[in-house]
Amino acid sequence: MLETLVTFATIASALFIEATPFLILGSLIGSVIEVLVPERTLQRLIPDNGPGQVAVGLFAGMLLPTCECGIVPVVRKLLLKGVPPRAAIPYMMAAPVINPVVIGSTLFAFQGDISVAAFRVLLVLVPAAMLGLVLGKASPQAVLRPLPVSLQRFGEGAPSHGPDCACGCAHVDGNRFKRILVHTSLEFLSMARFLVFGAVVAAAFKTLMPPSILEVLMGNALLAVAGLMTLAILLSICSEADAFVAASFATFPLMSQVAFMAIGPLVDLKLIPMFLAVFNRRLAIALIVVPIFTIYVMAATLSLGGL
Amino acid sequence: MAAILRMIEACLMTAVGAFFCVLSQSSIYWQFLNPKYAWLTMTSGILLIILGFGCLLHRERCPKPTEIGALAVVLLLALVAVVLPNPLFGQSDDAPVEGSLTMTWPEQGPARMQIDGTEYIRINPAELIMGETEGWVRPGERYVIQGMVVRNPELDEAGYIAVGRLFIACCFADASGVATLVEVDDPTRHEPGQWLQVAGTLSPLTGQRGGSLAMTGTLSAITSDRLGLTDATLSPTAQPGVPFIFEVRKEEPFAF
Repeated sequence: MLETLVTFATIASALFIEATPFLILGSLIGSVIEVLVPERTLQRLIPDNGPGQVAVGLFAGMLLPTCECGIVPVVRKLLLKGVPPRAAIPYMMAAPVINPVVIGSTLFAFQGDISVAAFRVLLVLVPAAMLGLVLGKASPQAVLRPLPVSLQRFGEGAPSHGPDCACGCAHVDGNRFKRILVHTSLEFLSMARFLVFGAVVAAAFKTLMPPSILEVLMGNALLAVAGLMTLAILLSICSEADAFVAASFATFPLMSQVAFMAIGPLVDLKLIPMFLAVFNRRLAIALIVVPIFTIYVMAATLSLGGL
Repeated sequence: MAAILRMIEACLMTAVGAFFCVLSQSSIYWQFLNPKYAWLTMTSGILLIILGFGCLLHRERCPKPTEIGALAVVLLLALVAVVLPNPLFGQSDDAPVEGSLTMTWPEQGPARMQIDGTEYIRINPAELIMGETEGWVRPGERYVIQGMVVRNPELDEAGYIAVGRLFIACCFADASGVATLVEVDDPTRHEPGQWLQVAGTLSPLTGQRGGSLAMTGTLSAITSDRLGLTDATLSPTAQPGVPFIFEVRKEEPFAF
C-alpha cells in the first residue's frame, strides 16, 4: 500500500514537474502574442488559400516546436489574433510531433529506423490536415468557446469586459511587462489545473495497471493497435519520451507502437479537458474523435497489410 | 474575500516554485527526473515564484477554486513523494550526496574490470542495445553489466534470464525497461527483482524466446533480438544508490 502510494505520488509529481516548463513557455508565448503582436500581423504571414494555410500549420512546428503541454494556450492566442483556424488547429495537432526534437528521439529509440519516424509523422499529418481542411473558412469565434463578453476585435459591438473576462485583456493597466506578467500568470493557472488532473489520472493508471494486460492486448493486430492507443491516452506521456516507452513494447506489432506514439501527443488526459475548456463542444469532440478514428484505421490497415 | 483568495493562490504558486528550486538542488532530484533537466526545473521554479507575484497584480480578479485546488494537490503529492520512504530505492552508500545542479555523483569506477583473470568492459544494458544497432559491440567481446533479474515462462524454457534496469529519458513517469538476456543453467534459481552483476561473453541468442518482460516501474522492457551474454559469471550485488540509467554513451568509460 505504501509503495503504491509513494509510487503514485512520485509519478504524478514527476509528470507535473516535467510538463510545467513547457506550460509556462506556452503561456508566455501566448501572452507575448496577446500584448505585443498587432491585430492582423499574423494574418499577413499566412497564405490566403486553404491548402496553403493548412500546410503552414502542419509544418510550422519545425520552426516553432512546442510540447503538447503548452500548445493550447499558444493556439488560443493565435486564434484571438486572427490566425485562421485552418492554420492554427493543424499547428496545434502537428507541432508536438513534427519537430526536430521528437523526430530525433523517435529515431534514437527505434535504433535509426527511418520508416518508424516517417509513419509516425504520416499518422499525425493525416488527421491534422483533415481537420484543417474541414474547418474551411470558419472564423476564430466559431471554434473558440463562447466568451462572456462581446468580441470587439471582430467588430461585434462595444466592449463589455468584466473582471473574469476570458478574452485576455485582464484589465491590467500599466506597461507591457506588467501586462505580459499578469497574462502569463492567469493563463498558466487556468491550464495548470488540467495538467494536474491529467497527471493524477495518468499516474493512477500507471501505478495500478497490471502488466498482464499487455498479454491480452498483443493477441491480435487490431486489438494491439486499439490497446496501445488507449494506453497512450491514459498514460499521457510527453511526446519527447513516448518513443522509448513505445519501443519497450517490442513484442507488439510495429504499427501498434507507431499508433501509440501518434495518438499520445494529439489526445491524452491532459489535453482533453483543455480542449473542452478552450474550444466549442463540437470542435473539442472532433479533436478527440477524429485523430483516434483516423489513426486507428490507418495503423490497423497498415498492420494487416504486413507492416 | 477575493483578496484573501488571491493571496492564498499567490502563496501556493510561490510554494510550488520554491519546491521546484529546492528539489533541483537536492540529492533526490534523480528520483523524479533525469538530472540533466535540473537547470530547467530550477528556472521553472524561479518563474513560478515570479508568476506568483503576478497573480497579485490583477486586483479585480477572483481566483477559481479549481485553480487554487490544483496547486494544493501538487504540493500534497510532492510532500508524499518526498517525505515518505520510497521502497523502490534502498539505502546505499553510493547515492548522490549533493544537488543535481552541482551533482557529485559517486565514483563510477574503472572502465574495465578483471574477474578471475579475464578482463570485462563495464557497460549498461541500454548501451549494449545501442552498440549492437550501431555496430560498435560485436559477438565475442566480454562485458559486465548489473541489473535486476526479470523472468517469464518463455525465457525459463529457453534457458535465459533477463537482467535489466529502468532507462529514464525524461522523467520517472516515462521510464522504460532495458534488459540483456543471459544464458543460465537454471533460470529458476534466480529470484525476480534480485540484483546481479553479470560478466559474460556477447554471443548470438539461441532457442525460442518471447513473452513480455515486466519490470517494476514499467510495463515492459526492450531487449536485443540477436545478442546476449553466455559463459556468464553471476554474482549477487547490492542495488546501486541510483538504480536508473540516465545516459547512454558510445565509448568507454560507459555509464555502468
